[in-house]
Amino acid sequence: MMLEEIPAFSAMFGFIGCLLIVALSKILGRWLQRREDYYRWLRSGSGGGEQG
Amino acid sequence: MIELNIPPVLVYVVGAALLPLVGRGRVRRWFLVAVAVLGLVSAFTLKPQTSWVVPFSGFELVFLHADRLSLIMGYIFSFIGAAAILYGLDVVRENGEYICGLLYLGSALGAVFAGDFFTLYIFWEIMAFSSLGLVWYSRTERARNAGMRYILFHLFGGCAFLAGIVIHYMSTGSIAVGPVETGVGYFLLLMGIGVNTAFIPLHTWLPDAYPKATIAGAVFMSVYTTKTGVYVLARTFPGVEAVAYMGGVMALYGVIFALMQNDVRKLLSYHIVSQVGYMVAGIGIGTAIGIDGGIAHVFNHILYKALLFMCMGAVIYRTGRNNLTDLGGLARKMPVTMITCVIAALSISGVVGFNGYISKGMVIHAAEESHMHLLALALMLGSVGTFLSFLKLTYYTFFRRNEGIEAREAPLPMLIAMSVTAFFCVAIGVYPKMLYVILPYPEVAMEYRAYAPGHTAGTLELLLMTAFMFAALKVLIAPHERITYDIDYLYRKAGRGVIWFCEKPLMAFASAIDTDLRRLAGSFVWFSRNPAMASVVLLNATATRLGLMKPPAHAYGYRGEEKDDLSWEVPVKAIEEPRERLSIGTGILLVVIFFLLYLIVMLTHGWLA
Repeated sequence: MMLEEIPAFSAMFGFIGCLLIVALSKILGRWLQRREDYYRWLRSGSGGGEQG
Repeated sequence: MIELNIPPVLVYVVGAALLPLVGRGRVRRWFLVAVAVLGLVSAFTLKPQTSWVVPFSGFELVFLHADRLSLIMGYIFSFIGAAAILYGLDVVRENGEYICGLLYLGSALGAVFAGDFFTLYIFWEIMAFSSLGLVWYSRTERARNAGMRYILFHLFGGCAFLAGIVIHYMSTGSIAVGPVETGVGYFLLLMGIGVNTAFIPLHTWLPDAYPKATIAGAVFMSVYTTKTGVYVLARTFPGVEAVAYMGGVMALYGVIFALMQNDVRKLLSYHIVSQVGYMVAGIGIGTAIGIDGGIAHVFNHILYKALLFMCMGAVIYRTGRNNLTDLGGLARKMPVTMITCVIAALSISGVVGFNGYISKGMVIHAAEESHMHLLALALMLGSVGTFLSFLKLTYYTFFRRNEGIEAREAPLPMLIAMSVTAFFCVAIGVYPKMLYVILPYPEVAMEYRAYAPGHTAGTLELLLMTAFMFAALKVLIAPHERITYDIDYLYRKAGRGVIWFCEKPLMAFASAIDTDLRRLAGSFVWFSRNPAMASVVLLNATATRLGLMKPPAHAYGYRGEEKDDLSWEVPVKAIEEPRERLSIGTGILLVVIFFLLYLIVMLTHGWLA
C-alpha cells in the first residue's frame, strides 16, 4: 500500500516531521553551537586550544 | 541559425584570455555579454556526437562527447553561467575574478563534455583551482583561510579521483567515462567524486568556503562543483544502493544543520548539501525514472539555488550584513529582490507550481517505486525541513520589522539576471514538459504525472502543516549570534595534530637521522681517502678494543712527538687523518672497476632487460 493512501497522512507527517527536525536541530545546537569568533578565540591561545 | 560545433569550454577559455585586453568600463561589459551569448549558442546548438578526438601518447582524448545526459548539463550550465556573468557586471571590480569565473564555468562544461577520464580529470582540477580564486578574491583573512581548507579538500579528492582512474585503466585498459567495477579503484573514484558531491562527512569544505566567496563568486560556486560531481556520479555509479542512501543522509543532514545557521549564505550552503542529496538519491536508485528525477533536480536546483545566492548576494551587497540576526525589513526597500527570492524559496521547498516540485516528486516517486520506503520518507522529511528553513530565511530577511536598516534595490544587471532565472523557475513548474523532453529518458519522464491530484493534494497538505508549524515554533528556530560547528571541528583538530606530529616527533626523528647520516658520510669520506691504510687502522683499533692486541707503540697517523702515556684516544685521533692518500687516478680506477662489475652482473642476470 502506498503511504499516501492513508487519510491525512501528509498532514500528520508534516506535523511530526517539523517537531522532529526542530527538536533535532535544537539538541544538536545545544551541543555544537559556539560564540561567533570561536575558532579565532581557539587559535589565539588560552591554553593550547583544548577547551572545546 | 549559427552552429559553432566546438566544445563550449573553448568559448569561455578564449574569453578569459582576452578579458584583460579589452580594458574597463563599457567595452568590458559588452565583451562579457558577448562571451555569455556565444557560450549559450555553442551549448544550445550542439548535436549528439563524439568529436574533437585528440591522440595523446597512446590515448584518445575526447573533448566533445555529447549525448542526452551531457547536453542537458551543457544547457543549464551555459544558461546559468550567462546569468551569473550578467549578475556580476556591477559588483565584480577585478578582471581576475571574472577570469576565475569564466575558467571555472568553462572547465565545468569541459568536464561534462569530456569523453574520457583523463580529460575529465584535467577539467576537474582546473575547476578546483579556478573556484579557489573566487573565494580568495574576497580578500579577507577568513576567506584566505577557508580557501586553503577548500583547496586541501579538493586536492585530496582529486588525488583519490586520479588514483581511481589509474587503477580502473590498469584493470580494463579503457579510459572512456563509464561504470567502474568493484575494487580499490572503485572506492577511490567514489571518494574522489564524493568530495565534489559533498558526501557526508566529506562535505565540510562547502559550507565553509561558499559563504566567504565574493558576491558573484558564490553564485558561480553554488552551481558547478557539486553538479559536475552528480553528473560524473550518474556516468560511473548509477544504481548503487549505498549511494542512494547516502543521498537520504545528505538530504536530512543538510536540512538540520541549515536550521541552525545565522549567516544567510551558510544556510544556503547547507541546503546545497541537502538538495544534492536528492540528486544523489535519484542516481543511486538508478532506474530510468530515478536518473531522470536526479538530473531534472540538477537542472531545477541550479536555477533556484543560483537565484537564492543572487538574492542573498544582492542583500549583502546593499546592506553589508550577512547574518539573519542583523537583517529584516527589506521587503519594501528591495521589492524585486524580495519577489524573486520568494519564488526561489517556494521552488526549493517544492511548492506546487514551482520547478522544485516537479523534480523532487519524481525522485521520491522513484524511491517508492523501487521499494525504498525508508529513503522516500527521509526525502519527504528533508522537504519539510527545507520549507521550514526557507520560511525562516525569507521571514527574517524581508518581513521581520527592522527600522534600522538602510538599503536600496539592487543594480539593474543583477535584477535582470534574477528576474530571468525566476521566470524559468515558474515556467518549468507550470509547464514541466519543456524540461521532461530533454531528460536522458524522456519517454519515462513524460509518463510521470507531476500534477496527479493525489500527489498535489498531499504536497499541499504537507506544506500547509509545515507553515503552520513554523508559526507555532518560530521562537524555537529563531536565529542566534552563534556559529555551529560541524565535522570540520574534527578535521581542524586532526589538522592541528598533524602539525604537532610534524613539528615534534617527526622533526626529532629527522634530526637524529641527519646527525647519524652525517657521521656515516664522514666516516666514508675518511675511509675513501686511503682505503688500504684505513682498514689497517680500523682492524688495529678493533683488535685493541677487543683486547686481542696491545695499543701500538706508534699509532698510525699520530703526528707529533713521542708521548709516553699512549692512551685510548690515540687510535681515535689517528682515525681522523690517515697519512697517505690515494691519488685521484686510483680512485677513478676503483670506480671504473665497480661499474664494470656492475655491468657484467647486470648483463648476465638480465636486469633492466
